Amino acid sequence: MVGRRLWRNLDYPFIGSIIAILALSLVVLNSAAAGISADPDYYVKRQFLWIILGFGAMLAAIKVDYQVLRRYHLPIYLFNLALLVAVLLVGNEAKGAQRWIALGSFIFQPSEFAKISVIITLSRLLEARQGRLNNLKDLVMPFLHIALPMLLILVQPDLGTALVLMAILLGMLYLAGANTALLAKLIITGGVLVSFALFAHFHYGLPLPLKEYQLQRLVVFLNPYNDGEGGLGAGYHIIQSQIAIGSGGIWGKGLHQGSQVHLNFLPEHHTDFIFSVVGEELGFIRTLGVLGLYFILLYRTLHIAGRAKDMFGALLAGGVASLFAFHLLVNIGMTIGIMPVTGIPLPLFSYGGSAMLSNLLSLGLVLNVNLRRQKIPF
Amino acid sequence: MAGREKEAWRGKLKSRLTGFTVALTFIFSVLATRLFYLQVVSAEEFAKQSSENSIRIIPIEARRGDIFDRQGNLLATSKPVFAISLANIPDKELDATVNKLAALLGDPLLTPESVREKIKTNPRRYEPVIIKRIPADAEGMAAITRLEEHRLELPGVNITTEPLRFYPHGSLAGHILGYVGQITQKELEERKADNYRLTAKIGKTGIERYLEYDNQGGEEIGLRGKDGAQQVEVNAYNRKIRDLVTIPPRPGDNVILTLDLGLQQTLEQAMDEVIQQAKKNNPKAGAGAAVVIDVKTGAILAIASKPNLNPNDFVDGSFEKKQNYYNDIHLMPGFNRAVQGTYPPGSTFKPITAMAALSSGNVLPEDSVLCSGGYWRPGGITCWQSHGRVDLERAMATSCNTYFQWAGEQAGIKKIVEVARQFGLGQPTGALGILGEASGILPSPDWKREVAAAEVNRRYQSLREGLEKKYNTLLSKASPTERERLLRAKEQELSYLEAQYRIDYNFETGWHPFDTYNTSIGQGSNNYTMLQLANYVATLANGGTRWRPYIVEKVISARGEIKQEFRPEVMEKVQIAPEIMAAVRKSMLAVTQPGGTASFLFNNFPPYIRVAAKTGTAQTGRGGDDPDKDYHGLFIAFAPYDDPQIAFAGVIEYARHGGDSAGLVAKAVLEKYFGLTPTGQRELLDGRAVE
Repeated sequence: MVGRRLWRNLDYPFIGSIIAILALSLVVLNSAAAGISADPDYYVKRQFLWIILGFGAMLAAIKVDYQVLRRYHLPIYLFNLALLVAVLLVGNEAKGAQRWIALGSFIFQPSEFAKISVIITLSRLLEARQGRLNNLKDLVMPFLHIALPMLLILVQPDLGTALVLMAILLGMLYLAGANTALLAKLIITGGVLVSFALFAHFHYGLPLPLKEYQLQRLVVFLNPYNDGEGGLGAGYHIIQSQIAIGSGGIWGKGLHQGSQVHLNFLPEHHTDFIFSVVGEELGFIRTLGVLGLYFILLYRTLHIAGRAKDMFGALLAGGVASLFAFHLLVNIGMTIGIMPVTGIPLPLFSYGGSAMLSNLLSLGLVLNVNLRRQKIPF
Repeated sequence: MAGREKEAWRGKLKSRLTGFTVALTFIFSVLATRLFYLQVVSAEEFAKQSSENSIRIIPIEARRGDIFDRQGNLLATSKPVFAISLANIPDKELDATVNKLAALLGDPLLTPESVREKIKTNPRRYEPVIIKRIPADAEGMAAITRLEEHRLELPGVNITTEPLRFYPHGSLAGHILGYVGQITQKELEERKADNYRLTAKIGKTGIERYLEYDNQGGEEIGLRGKDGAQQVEVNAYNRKIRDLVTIPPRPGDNVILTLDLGLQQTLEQAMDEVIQQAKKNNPKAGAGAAVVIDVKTGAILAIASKPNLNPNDFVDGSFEKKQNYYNDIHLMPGFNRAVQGTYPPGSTFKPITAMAALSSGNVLPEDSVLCSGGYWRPGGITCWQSHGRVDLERAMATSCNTYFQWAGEQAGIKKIVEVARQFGLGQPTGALGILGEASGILPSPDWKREVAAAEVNRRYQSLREGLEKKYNTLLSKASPTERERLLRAKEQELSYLEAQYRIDYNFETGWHPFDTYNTSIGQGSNNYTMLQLANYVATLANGGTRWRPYIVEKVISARGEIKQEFRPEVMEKVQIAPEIMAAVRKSMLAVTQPGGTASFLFNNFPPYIRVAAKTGTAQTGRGGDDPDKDYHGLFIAFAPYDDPQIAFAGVIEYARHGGDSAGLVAKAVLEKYFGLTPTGQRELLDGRAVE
């Protein structure tokens, strides 16, 4: 139970930024989704419902002291693996990927749950290994820890979410005190290897265990017009998205007035590319404001981590911060042409039920840490 | 000591968090810088590109296929209407255009305010708003000509033609044809693979839905057709500048039904007249259903459900005005009674009982029973008249309840169920082209046990809960001594209840002699659709082949190639000796001969077209009905007796007798089919026989 005393610890800027982002997301979605459904309010109504459910999940997540999670780390880890295997066996296919499990009329995306599960179990693992994360050998275990879920997600195939797990791991390793130089070396080596492999694939036909369209999308942002179809192939999204954002100018075209969105030049504009609608219809100044709200959210999350009662709590909050930071960087980066297209949604903004639930649930974990923070000695 | 250790991790964490914040700030700065580059530095360049994004694809709606009867008479088609739309234009031009447009259209309901309201509420700001649809008749053409003359004063106004579904015969076979309507969000999601547009129309019920669209391994078939597209160049206000490429639409396929327009008209007209008559005697009347089947193929020649459903109401907007009619909860015009409605068959079930009795070996056609008109046996049902000594033929002709209860007992319920099942009763006929067929109920000991057990258990569960509750309140207020007494009383009452439960359970779930009697004469829980009854009669008529009924003959492309042909399909060969079926057919012939319950109906028929039939009067079994007054009238028939061609089954709700209600409908249908001169129904009604 959450006693009244605990609520005094509530971090208001944290909660405030969440509510502001969600409110804005509904306003923008109302415009973005107007032309894609027979009922103009269809998506807004559904998204609103998901937000309500998400807040329910959030409340559920703060009810029980997060210390309990430490005890159940093994069942959580195994349950996550079971779900990921299940989605491969009985999942529903959409756009060529196995991602959903349908429970009656409810559609569930296990890879969303995988992110939270990894944050929880990794927090427990890294807390136990504090101060022993100094050489390559020490890092083997944490990497193995995420390797299994990551592989299962890669097979779906869902490259984006697999990368999110990697980002969570790196962010949490850093916060847990891992050797900085070693981490830097790993990231650079990984980056170089991936670039080299992609280069070899496209120039010398090196076979890679990913689908061709995924590989295409990874590199096409470097030069979207060079997609073999003069900007109408794999580069189309990125080009149209940048035109949308750029043409918004300083003040934007106004809600419902974005021609890129409403003339359907920009596909997926209510899900992965919703930020392009923000850019086109709201303009530079207000788009900066949206970025600012996200910055407040992340800044406060780190602040909460710093005042956590124990390392486990700090890592939980830090993991969620890594998750959100990576999502923001990759999603927004994609819409403005500095990141590859990986199908990662904008958290709290893109239309989508499972993502909304899991995002609010993970923020609920942060809140849990916040409410049960260290006692300040007088 | 512990404190210092704690401080150690906290110190390190603090520095790492600072590092993390720095990284975060860096990421956000990169994003902000890029945004600045796109939206401030290059804004002009991108704005230009955005406005040059001017190629639009305008879909061209395919013409939906037509539906014909077997002779090529048109049953459903599309006629052109003019759609006047207004594109997104600059506000300063808008007011003048709207005022001018409203003045030119001269429709008192279409004021400039209402037009502006339509523009304001358009969810797709960039798509033109349809202001009005005008039928392409003389008046409509005049209005369009007026608009064309003022073209230059009406920027943004577009006139396009679009097809509107039209059913030339109105409500005729309306339930079967179905209608089209605006696609819903749910349908859009269900049919994602079929590429429907948001504004598409889609078949909602009947043939319109059954043959809407199917993609059979790349071959597309159905009424829908394939939309074409026109690529046009537009300016920043989405107004067309010039045409680029046009991909013509592919018209939808035409459908030929097995229905016969003339027969269908006769059927529906006769039903309307008979229902009108029935209403005079019973205010609950007003509904009915009937089916006519080709006994040699299973093709449905006519099928009707009353009251009418006029598909035009659902496509031309009249539905709004007729809501009261369609929402009538008693008559339910939208409900297709012929295939979705189930009715107790009454005496039309007796041929089944006869076949069961004869094939059990316990009864011979010559065996006779004495009917005294009273109770035949305790638990049985009285006969409606004293028939004296009757054999199969007399019993069928006079519809003697005594005989058939005896015959049913001789056959045994197992045999009756087996025969009824073989004739397709109590199960969907599997008719092709018919949606939502009901199963009906063929009562059997197994079926009764299942249904009754659930009912008894539910009843006693609530009694037990009531008892528990009663004692709980009593006990909560009782003193310790009283408690003792109360607990004993509760124990006693509970054991009494359980004993009662066992008695009721055994009685209610068991199959009793009276259940067999009831079933034998088509009462009890028997419940079948008219399609099932018609198909059973057809099966008996043709000597035991149960066909799969079908209503679609062919699907033909707009260019005339046959794309799909429906052929007769045998569902089952009945396992009953031909002599037995012949004996039962002969007894049904006696029904229309002098002394039979339907002898008054077919006097004018020539000797080479003799009709075999059975009348039926069935308790409705509906709550609130008077079991002594409210009867449905049923009739089954096939003809000619000597070489059967068609079978009929029909019901007129609350008409009391089958012969002078559904029987008259059968008579009209048979006269039409065999080209006989119809006799007036008035004169017939005078000499009517009653069952």
